[in-house]
Order: sequence, then structure tokens, then C-alpha cells
Amino acid sequence: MSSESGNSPLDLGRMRRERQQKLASEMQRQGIDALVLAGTGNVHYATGATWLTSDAGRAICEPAIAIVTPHGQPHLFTPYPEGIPADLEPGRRHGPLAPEFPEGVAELAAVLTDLLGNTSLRVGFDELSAAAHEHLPRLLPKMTIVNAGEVLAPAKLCKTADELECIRRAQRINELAMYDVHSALRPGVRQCDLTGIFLDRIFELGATGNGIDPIWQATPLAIADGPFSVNGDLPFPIPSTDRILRQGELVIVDSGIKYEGYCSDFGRTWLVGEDVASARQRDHFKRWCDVMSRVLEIVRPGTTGLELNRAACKGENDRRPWLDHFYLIHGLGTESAEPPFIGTDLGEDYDESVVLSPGMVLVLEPVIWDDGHGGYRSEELVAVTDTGYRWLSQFPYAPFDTDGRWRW
Amino acid sequence: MVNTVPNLGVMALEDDGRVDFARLRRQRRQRVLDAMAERDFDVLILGREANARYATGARRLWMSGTRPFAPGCVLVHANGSVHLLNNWDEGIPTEIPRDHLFGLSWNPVTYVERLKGIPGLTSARRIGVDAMTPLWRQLLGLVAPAAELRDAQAMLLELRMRKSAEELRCIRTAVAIAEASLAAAIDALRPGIRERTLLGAFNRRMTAYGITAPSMEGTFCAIEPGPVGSRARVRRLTSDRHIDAGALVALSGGVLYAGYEGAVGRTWPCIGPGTGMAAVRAEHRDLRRRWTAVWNRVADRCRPGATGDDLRAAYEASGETLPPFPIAYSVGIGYEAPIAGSSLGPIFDRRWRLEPGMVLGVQAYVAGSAGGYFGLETVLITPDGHEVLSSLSHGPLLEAD
Repeated sequence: MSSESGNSPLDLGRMRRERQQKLASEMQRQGIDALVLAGTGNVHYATGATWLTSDAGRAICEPAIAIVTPHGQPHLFTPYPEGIPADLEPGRRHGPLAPEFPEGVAELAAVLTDLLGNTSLRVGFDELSAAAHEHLPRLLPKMTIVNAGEVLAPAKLCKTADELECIRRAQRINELAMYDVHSALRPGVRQCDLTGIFLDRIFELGATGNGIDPIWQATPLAIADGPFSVNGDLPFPIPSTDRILRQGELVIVDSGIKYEGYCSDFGRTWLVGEDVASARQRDHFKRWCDVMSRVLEIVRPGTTGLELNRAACKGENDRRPWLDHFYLIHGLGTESAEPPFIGTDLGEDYDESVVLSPGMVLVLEPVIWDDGHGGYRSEELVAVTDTGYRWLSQFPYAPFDTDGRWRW
Repeated sequence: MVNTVPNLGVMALEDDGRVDFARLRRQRRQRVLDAMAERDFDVLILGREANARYATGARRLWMSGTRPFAPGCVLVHANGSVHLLNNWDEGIPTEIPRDHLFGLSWNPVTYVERLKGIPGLTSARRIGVDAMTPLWRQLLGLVAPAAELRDAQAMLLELRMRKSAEELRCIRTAVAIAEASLAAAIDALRPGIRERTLLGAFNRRMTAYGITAPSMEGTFCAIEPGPVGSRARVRRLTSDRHIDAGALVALSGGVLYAGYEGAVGRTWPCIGPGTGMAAVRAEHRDLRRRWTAVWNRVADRCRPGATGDDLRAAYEASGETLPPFPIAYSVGIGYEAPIAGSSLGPIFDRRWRLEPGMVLGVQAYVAGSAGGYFGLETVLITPDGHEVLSSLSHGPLLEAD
């Protein structure tokens, strides 16, 4: 899949410009003079640059760093010149910085002084190395360190058309790969075998990176038969190994890939070696569908998170129909989970403060759990539109939908 | 008895677990606690997954890229206890009791309360942290009001860089898996194949060994020739491109075994099936010879007492230009630190002095107008020199000599 073609147009240059404008206006509104960004998703958001996808250790030691001011393009410091967007002005392209080490922090301080001047400034950081935490306040005594998240969160909250298209493509690649994985699911296959098929397919289909170690969790039907659980709820997600999957096991699937920096989020429940779910399992699925229907019915601009929370819970009297340690709904963008969050332990007042707006992406992840008999979890992605929502995900529910194709 | 040829494999054997993980964890944790005493840290609060894994052996979910700091692991020196942010005990070593696990929270007030419940944390005077965020600078002030928060990352790096025998067994296993996976990509290499298909082949073979996450997505990139008299640039980001017959292809990947990284890199000519050695071009063999010359100079300095700057100087003395990436980095639970040739310069490199037990990824790139040659080896520093842990062939370019 080419990055510049598809069903609807994707203009990466426009996407970068619009994101930079949002950051600039949010910085001006909050009186923040600069952002220093080191988080993978944040640097991608601010610059559109790409780099070698890796674990955190490599990403920290050979990082891409963005310094954003309210005026003009961001400054990008990267060890991957080939990952610099073509439209980034030459004066904004720089060699790498390494604030992980004290020597690199001194260099960062010099760069900040050079770019911003040695005056009293409010500078937002998303994360600090231990060395930056220790040395930066001394090197730049006039600088006030503030939380860059205060600027990033509102800028990222409502997606532009190009961002939505990137998320749609990420989700599509993820789903297409899952067709191959699901057809390989049979007694005796190992979790790592499914991972192999998945990783092979996502790159073939155009993914620019994998986001998380894919989850193929073989889930006992009773919580007490599984690992010890701190909150008493279903332990999930448990990392994959070479575990052998066996006939009839309930497998809860979760994965996320990246396309041009944007995440997908795929969640389904599968059964090993079974073409049809039992009547009780189909009932779990039906209850899950009912929760989804009640929530989606009121997804439109102006609806609050608390209204969504209550709609999900209506009729589900024994437990809230989602995982206690997660949420009913999370957002998604250059992070696999970002605001809006609905149904977390931040509580009802917080949920009430969340008001849906056009461009928000919602990942709905209700979970039905019938202890002793298993349950059902799947995830769906929608984007809030001017009048309601539109789907960003589309994947069958086999073997829980009796006729092989469940429809809303 | 010292078995000089390690019995590498990922399956536990009836008579031998191959790696004694209980011993591995015990040694690592004790080293961390001892270092805390030396540096006068009452408590360590770790957000970096590699540090938490080193200190505890906890196997938690792999995610690509950075994660912002949050207290995911707390070590209290006074009682030697370890507390982990984890909602379940799967992946948590048995020596960590269940009541030392604390649950995930999205609510800073709840998170702070859970931390306050850790005995010895609220009264700490000196807390070591491995990273920070502006929000946690404030919140940790609520958890331990009297404490100063100091950089512990340098201390942790120092510990992690010197490997135990058990750690080396893990790294050797990881290198063997990385080589097997790279060999699968090499097997798939043929004219017309796309770069990303090679990445898929690497991953497919990696997972056959029970591994579900790489340390990096690796480089599977054709090196395009430059104009006459120029140096071909190496790309490191695998793309959609189809690889032409006769192209040189940089191939490099890394895998994680029990958290430890094994990595290897080679350059292979894209020769069609049945074409044979006649298709190997003399200019490409020259590039490989130049690469070997740099490698020999750098490897010669891989011995106790040498500094990162000595490696850099050896590289430069070969007459080759330093590549736009470090020529040596410390490797253990993932990438630990650049040791030589990074953008931080020679003074930074001089701070690292090689010691027995250190493991380095050593990489070099040479280029001409006909293309370039990239190679990465994993090297163990031994008491009297070094041992190259990677053993995969350099392929047709070497054999054609």
C-alpha cells in the first residue's frame, strides 16, 4: 500500500502542517514558549519524522527529539536523516541529541539557549532523562519546566481528516493480517506461531512498525483458575510466550501496529478449533453487542463520557461491562491509548467533563465476564462526526456470530 | 568442567535448564541492592522497563518506542523488598510476594496512595530515579516529601554493563536466534523481492524459537550505488522497494531472549538462484575487504582497558569515515549505551573503559560508488581480549576471495 494513495486522499504534508498549527495555537493560548519532546508518539506528532522501530532502550539512546516553538516548523534532531519529512526546511534539520547522558544534556541546554535565548521561559517537556532531571535546572536556571502534555493533549484530541485516514489504514492493515492469523488458529498452534504470521503479514501489507507484542491470551473460564489478580478482575493482557493453544480454549486477542506514526487497536475473542460457540458463549457475545449498541446509539457531539458510561452499564447490574483496571473507551492516535478516557478510576466527575466532539477517535472495549463460563471482549474503533460517528474498524466476530456474519 | 562450546537452545532440558534463571535474578537484584548501599540510595523508583527487568526479572508487556516515566518498580534498601506495578502475578518471579504487586491506576491521587502504602518509601531521604516527567516531579513530592530525587540511571548502567555468566548464556542464545532469523531473510533474498518481505522472513523465523518480540525492527535495505567517485549512503529504514539483481543489501536484526538482546548484521549481494559466484562483482568484494580491514583494527582494540575513544581512533586510523551511527554500543537487556562513535564525540567515548564481561555491538560501514558494506558483530570482552559471539558467515563476498 502506498502512503499517498487509497480510497480517500491522504496528504501527509497537510497533516503535518495542521498538527503544527494546532500545537502553535495551543502553546500561544497557554503561554508556553517551547516544547522539548522525546516521546516516540509525540515526536512523530510534532514532526512526522520516522526512525527505526525498536524497544525503549534503543529509542532512548538513539532518539529523535523535537523542539517546537509557536513560530514556524519544528526543529528535528535525529540520527535517521532518511526519516526527515521532505518539506522540513534545511534550517530545522539537525543531527542527533542524546539527553540520556549528562554530556547530551549540556548539549541540549546549549541548543535551547541558541534557539530561544537565555531568558525566562516556560518550556514544556514530555519526559526527562534522569540526567536532564538532575542537570537541566542548574544549566538553565531561568527556565521553568512545565508539562508538555498540557499542550499535546488538547492538540491531539480531535483528529484531522488525514489523521483519521492514517488510523483507518493502520486498522485495515491490522485486520487484514488477522484474517491469516485466525485461519491458522487450531489446536496445537503456539502463541509465538500466531505472532510470526502476524508480524510477517503486517509488514507485507504496509505497516511502518509494530506497536505491542501481540496478545493471544488463553483465558480460563473462571478468574480463580488463572493468575492471581490484584483487583479481582480478569487479568488481561498477559504477554505471549510459546504456550501451546488447545482445543476449545477461549483466546482473547489484542494487537496494535503503526502506519505513518498512527496506531491501530484490534481486539477480538476467538475459540481454538471450534466453528460455533456454545449457546452460553453466544449469549455473552449478544450482551457485548447490546452494550455496544447502547453506547453507539448516543455517540455524537455533545454527549458526555458519563452518559456513555451509564449507557454501557444499563442492565449489566453485577459488574461494569469493562475491565476494572482499564476503561470502557479510550482514544487513539500517535499513542495506542490517549484521551479521551471514559470509565477509568478517575471517576464520574471526570467522565462528565469529557464531551464528545467531531474528530475524536473512540476505541470501545466492553468486556462481558460470566465467571466460571468465560466471557467476551472485542474492540471497535469509531470516529465522532458532525452528527454521529463512522466506523474505522470492520472485522467478523466468528465463531460467536451464529450465522457467520453478525450485523449491527 | 568448563564447556567451551555452549549448549544453546530455548527449551529447558530435564537435566539442565540451560540458564539458571533463579540464580540470574538473585545475582542481579543483589548487585542493585549493594550499589544502592554504596551510593546511599534508600529507595529506587524505576520507570525504565529494562532497569525494572534487571532488578526484578518481571516479564511485562513489550511495547515499541519510549514510554513516559511512571513508578513501575520500587526497591527499598532497608528490607531489600521489590514492589511492582502489575495487576497479576503471571510473569512475576515467585520470590516477589503477591502483596508487593500494586495495580494500575489512571488517577494520580490513587497512584500516589498506592505508592505511600509501600513500607519505607514515604520516609526515604534519598531516592534514585531512572527518568522523570514534570508531573511525577510534583507527585513524588507528595509520596516522599523529605526525599531528594537523584539520578540513578548512571549507576544502573554501570551494573548492567558487566555481565554475569548466566547473563552471557542468555546473550549467546539471543545471538544464535538472531543469526538464524537473519539466515531466513538471506534465504528469502532474490531479485524482485521487497525489502519489507525480508523483515517478515526474519520475524517468522524468530518466532519459531518461541520469541515474540524483536529488540528492533532491523535494517533490510538495498544499498544503491552512488555516482562515480562518491560514497553510497546506507539506509537503515526498511522500505517498500523491490531489490534489483546484483544489488548489495544491508541486513541487520535483533531479537530478545529472556530480555537480552542478540543482534547481527551482514551485507549480501542479491544474486538470482543458480547464478553462482560468477555474479559476485569485484568492486563488491573490495568493499567487503575494506570492511574487514576496519573490523580487524577495531576488534584489535576490543580488550580490557581500552576506551570507547580507542575504538573510534582505530576506526579512523583505517582511513574510513565514521558512519552516521555509533560504531560500538553496550548490549544487554536491550541497547544500554553508545560506547564509541556517537554524536556525543570523543570526550564522551573516553568515559567508557572496557572491562571483562562487557558485551558490545560493534558495527562498521564502508562505501564506494559501487555500493557499501555494513556489518554488525556482537563481541564479549574477555580477560585477555575478546570473543566474537556472532558467527554467521559473511557469505558470497567473503567466499569469493
